[in-house]
Amino acid sequence: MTKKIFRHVLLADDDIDDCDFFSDIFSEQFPDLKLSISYNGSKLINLLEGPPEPAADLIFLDLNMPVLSGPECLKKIRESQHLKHHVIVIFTTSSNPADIQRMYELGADYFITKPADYSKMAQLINKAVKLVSENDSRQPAFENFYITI
Amino acid sequence: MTNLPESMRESVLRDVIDTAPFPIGVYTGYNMKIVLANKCMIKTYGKGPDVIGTNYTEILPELKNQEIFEQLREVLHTGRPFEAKNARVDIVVEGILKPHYFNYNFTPIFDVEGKVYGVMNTAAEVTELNVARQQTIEIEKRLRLAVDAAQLGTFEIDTDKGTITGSKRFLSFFEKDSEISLSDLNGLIYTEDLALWQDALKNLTRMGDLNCEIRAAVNDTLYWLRFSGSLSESDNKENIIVGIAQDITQQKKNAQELLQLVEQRTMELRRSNDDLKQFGHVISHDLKEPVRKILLFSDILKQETAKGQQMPRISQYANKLNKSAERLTEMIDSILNYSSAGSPEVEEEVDLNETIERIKEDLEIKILEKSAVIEHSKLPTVKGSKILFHQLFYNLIANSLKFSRESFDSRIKIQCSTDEGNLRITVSDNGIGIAPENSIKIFNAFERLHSKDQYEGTGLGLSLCKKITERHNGQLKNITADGSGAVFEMTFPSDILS
Repeated sequence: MTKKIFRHVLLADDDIDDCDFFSDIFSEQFPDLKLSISYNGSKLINLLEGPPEPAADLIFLDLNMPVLSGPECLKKIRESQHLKHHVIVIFTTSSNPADIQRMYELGADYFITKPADYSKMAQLINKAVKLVSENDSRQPAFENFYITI
Repeated sequence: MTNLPESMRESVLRDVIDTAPFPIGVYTGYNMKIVLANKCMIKTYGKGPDVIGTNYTEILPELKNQEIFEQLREVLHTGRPFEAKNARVDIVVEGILKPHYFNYNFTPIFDVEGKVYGVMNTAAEVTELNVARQQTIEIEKRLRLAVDAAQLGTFEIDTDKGTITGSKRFLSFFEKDSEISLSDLNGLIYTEDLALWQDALKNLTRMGDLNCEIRAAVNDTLYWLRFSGSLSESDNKENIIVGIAQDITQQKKNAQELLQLVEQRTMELRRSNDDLKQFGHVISHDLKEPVRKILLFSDILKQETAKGQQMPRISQYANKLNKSAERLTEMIDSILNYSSAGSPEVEEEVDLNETIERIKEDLEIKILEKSAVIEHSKLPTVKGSKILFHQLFYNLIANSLKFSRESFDSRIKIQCSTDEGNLRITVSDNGIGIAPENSIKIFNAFERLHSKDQYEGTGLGLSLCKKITERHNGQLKNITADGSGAVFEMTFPSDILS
């Protein structure tokens, strides 16, 4: 199996604490990867559409964000010719089955519910990166969509 | 008579008169001495058998003011017969004065000289006929009252001739004074309802009854009319429909208004329900977010302080902080479950065996901790909500595990039976049990029997269980067992079994 190599990971989340946790965990586990953080959806889209160096290929996306929400970003990305191949992992506090179903239908690749436990959060992020790197960029079957430990 | 030998003629004649089934009597003189009365007449007098030879006027004094004597004397005097039809005569029979009705004749009898010798009285009693007629009149009167009070119009439709005879009120429905023909009526019926009306008339012979509600346009206003009728059963009224019609415009309007009101209320309720749901969602999300942060930070704090070992109290505080935040999360979740227990679909097929197996997986760690054994008999598949049944059994089993006895291995039994068609499921354990005085209290929301240090919990578990059972038209009861463990019994109506 060919492992996919990421050069640039994006996180879009308006929750600064969660961004901090994510960033801490990320730099600890993947020190070689570049992480860029946008605090709202429209900043994420600007970043994606601006001159990207290196190009982002994995995006962690929160659902509830000001200006441009997660689902809106997702729709924009999937509708855009040059952005639609990005792998998108939903990273949200929601565990609502309706949200999970909807995000799958909108074309997200994976779904993580932010846990209330620091070590679990580390494990989930790790697992998500691993899953994405091991699979081809096609959307997995629905039963593998929701990542749990 | 002439064929009879002369010797027999008189006795035959006497027998005929005596046994004739109608009263015959002959009276003579001013006081009307009874010279002949057959059996039937004697019975009609009602004064016993020995009346021959007595005076009519004396044995029937009750006739004094009823003009009978005058009529008799008139016949005696003039020799002209008298006939009365359907005349009321009050006679005392066996001591009781009662009205009787007769068609009677007073016929003069002449002697050889052509003088009036006496009067023959023949009669036919028509009392029964009269009673029946009076009853009919009485019934008709009542019927008329009812028809009037109910503001009904009565009608007769001659389907052959196409004519309608209607009561005043019936005609007033169509603003007519004298008459209305069937084609007039058809012309007034609202176009959309005309087919319905004609079908109803056509089907009358097959169905036996006419029943339909139609609209009629009278002076540009639509009225709702209800027609009820049936074919006449009278001999000379073939193909005639008799019936009643009623103006039900107001009723229809009221029903319509009621329907609208119900719809409006339902919509309002639904909206307020949706608002509540939305509210619950927002509350849960907004409450849970900060709590999750507390959990995360206290988690980190716990780990950091544990590394150093210099600040044992801080580490302890971090622990407590973490525990409290966990409890708060649990609490928010159960309040959310409780408030949303009313909404899910309850039309799914739920295999309860599967539900129990899932719960066993969910509770695996606790089951191991308590060395618990969970047994269940073969459970049915029921109609309901998967999520709710999961929560129901999850809470009951988790309770049994929580309230187990120390130094005893927890044993939980789930059994089911059908009782008069109802499905009964019991969950029993060998835990600390529930005191009889608490067996109802435990179902109250936020009711806790133990301190939080002893047993953790929100106090919502059992009330949620109760709510879920009721949502499935069932009942949940705590049966106080004899000293050992708790028994919860659920009963569901038979139609839950799919």
